[in-house]
Amino acid sequence: MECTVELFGTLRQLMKTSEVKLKLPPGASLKDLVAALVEREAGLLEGVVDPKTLALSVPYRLYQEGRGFVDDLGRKVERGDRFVLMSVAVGG
Amino acid sequence: MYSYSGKCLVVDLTTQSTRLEELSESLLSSYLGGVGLGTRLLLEKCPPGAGPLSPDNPLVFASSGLAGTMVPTASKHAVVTKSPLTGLVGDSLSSSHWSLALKRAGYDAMVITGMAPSWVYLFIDDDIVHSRKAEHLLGKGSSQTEEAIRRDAGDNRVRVASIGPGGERLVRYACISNDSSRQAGRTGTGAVMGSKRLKAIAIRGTRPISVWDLDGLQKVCSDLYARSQTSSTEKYRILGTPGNVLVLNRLSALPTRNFQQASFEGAEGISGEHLAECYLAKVTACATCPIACEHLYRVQEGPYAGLEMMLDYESLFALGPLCGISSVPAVLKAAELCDFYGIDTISTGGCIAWAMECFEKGLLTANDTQGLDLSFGNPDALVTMVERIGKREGVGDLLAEGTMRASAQLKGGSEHWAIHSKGLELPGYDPRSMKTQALGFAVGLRGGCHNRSPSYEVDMSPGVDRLKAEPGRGLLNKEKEDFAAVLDSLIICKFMRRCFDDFFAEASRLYTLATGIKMGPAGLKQVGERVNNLKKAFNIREGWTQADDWLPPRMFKDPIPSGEATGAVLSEGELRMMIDAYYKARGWTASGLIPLSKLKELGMDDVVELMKGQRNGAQVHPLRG
Repeated sequence: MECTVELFGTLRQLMKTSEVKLKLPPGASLKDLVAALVEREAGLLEGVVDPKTLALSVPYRLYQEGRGFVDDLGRKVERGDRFVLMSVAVGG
Repeated sequence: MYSYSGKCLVVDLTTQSTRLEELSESLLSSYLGGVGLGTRLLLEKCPPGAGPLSPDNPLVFASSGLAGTMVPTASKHAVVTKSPLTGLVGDSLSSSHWSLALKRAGYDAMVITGMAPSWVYLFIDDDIVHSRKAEHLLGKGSSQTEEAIRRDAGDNRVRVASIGPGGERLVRYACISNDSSRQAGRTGTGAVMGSKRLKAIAIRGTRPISVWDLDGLQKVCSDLYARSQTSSTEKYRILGTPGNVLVLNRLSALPTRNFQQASFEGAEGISGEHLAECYLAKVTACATCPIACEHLYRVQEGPYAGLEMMLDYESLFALGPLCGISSVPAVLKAAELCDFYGIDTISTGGCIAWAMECFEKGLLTANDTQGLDLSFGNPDALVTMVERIGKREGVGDLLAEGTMRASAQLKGGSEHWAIHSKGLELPGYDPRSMKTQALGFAVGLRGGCHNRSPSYEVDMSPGVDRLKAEPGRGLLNKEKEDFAAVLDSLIICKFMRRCFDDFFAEASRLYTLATGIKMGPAGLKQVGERVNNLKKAFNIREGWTQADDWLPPRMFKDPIPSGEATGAVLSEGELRMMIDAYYKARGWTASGLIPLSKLKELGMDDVVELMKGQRNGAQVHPLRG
């Protein structure tokens, strides 16, 4: 199944694209999605994704279109899901 | 005491006299400095009911226990006064070398009262305070004023805080600028300075600042400096706060065309990503700041070719999407003019956006605008209107009053789209798609503000439905406000907040290492609550009523028309429910007043005495001052 991850800010610079389409096996979880992103760009392990747990480091967060901010890596991903990977270090 | 001098310089411009007042250790440890100490001095020095632009209204500059030490990002000061925009407490922070100079001159605070018989500037040379003629500085922007004063002094170490032509003309949201590019921007402190005929305050501060435990402080600060270079601050360092544009746009939280929309079709073209790629010239920092969030952009071609200007998210949003402007050079030019005239970019953008909607709906016509096409998206109109506000020319004179007063004067239903809370124009977060922030804007003690009530952080958290209002948001907003009050009183830049593992434990240790004053995590946390109760006490004394804790009609009547949060709107019942929960979380009465028992619980018995002379709300509402 395919899902999409939009990228903003420094993540867009790091991955040199504004959007990534990922093919994941049926029943995949958010953790699998993060792992697939890391496989595509290992630089994410430097400050964005915890290498041991694959949890996102502060202040990075995943936003799921239509559902809100999600952090449960066990959550199942559905075909066509759309995510936004962003830094929520706002203010200024 | 270490770090603190325990001294407050009081300058009376009417009598051209100065005196020193002692600040006790008890007072300093109760309010720390910055916004806390400044508000405490305001409550004491401001006669109840004083007009914000009258000589009676004191202008307070407050340093802190950490300013001038090696603590990263602590080179800051607060300016506190009764706001000419809101008639309530007005406080604003600025930073960099002037903040250090104030501390090194030997003062924890400076209170300026009265009104000079003619325009002057103050020259503070440690102990010696001169009042000098300033007629030759009138009409100059902050950079030019700074250069002129330094030239006169023959000393480049002199640091200058000044007002621009907007402050001279009492634009109600005029700011006080220092070190050329830093501003105490919000709530109109520059208009208060202008009302005193005080053009500038120049300081040559040469005293050393001693700390209680130099080795201990150095160790903790070394660690903090290292942490300030991690992912926790990466966005600020690499893209600067303009990196917020696309994130907020994606969430339908980017106020567009005076909050008629919450996403902007031109967002990519004004995004931090685009600015970094096409306009970035240099990255700079305030004094003692390792983060360096300030991004200087250069225009390469077109009518503004050669223009160099720093820009943060709030200025970008207000002069860009809020006015429907997608031209980066025009936004940079408008920001440059705001700096020259010394006027707050958020309120300036908010006022122009309000006028653009008036023009769109026919309430303002070309006759009113001297032929200017004040349509949303017209970059020339944006730039021209900033100048007219700064000069109080034509319709600019109306806009210089702020949206609350301008809409009350123009009428015709324009109050519906006068986007302010308590008179302060809202910053760049749409409250319909961030409902905890909606509460924060409504109850904000200096008016609607994301810095004093940073509840967007709640809305951007996993497990929180940002489109839903719940009673639990009351406590969450209170906690965010109290945390912000601690940061604003210590003072530590908010961009450092994620560099601490356990903020209250680490920051209280920093405070003790610098000042020698015992402070634990619980004590530091309580300071935040104390400061916010103090600000509320001042507001109550000056005529705050429950009706002031509210949002503009648009937020209840006009759903977000497109984007991720299509249809999102706030109901009056939702907001009332969250406000009730907030008052309860604060331990206030159902009508939002502070019980005496609460003041006593916070050790604020002395404030009860200062509350005497409370005004009748009817005398000062709705257009206070």
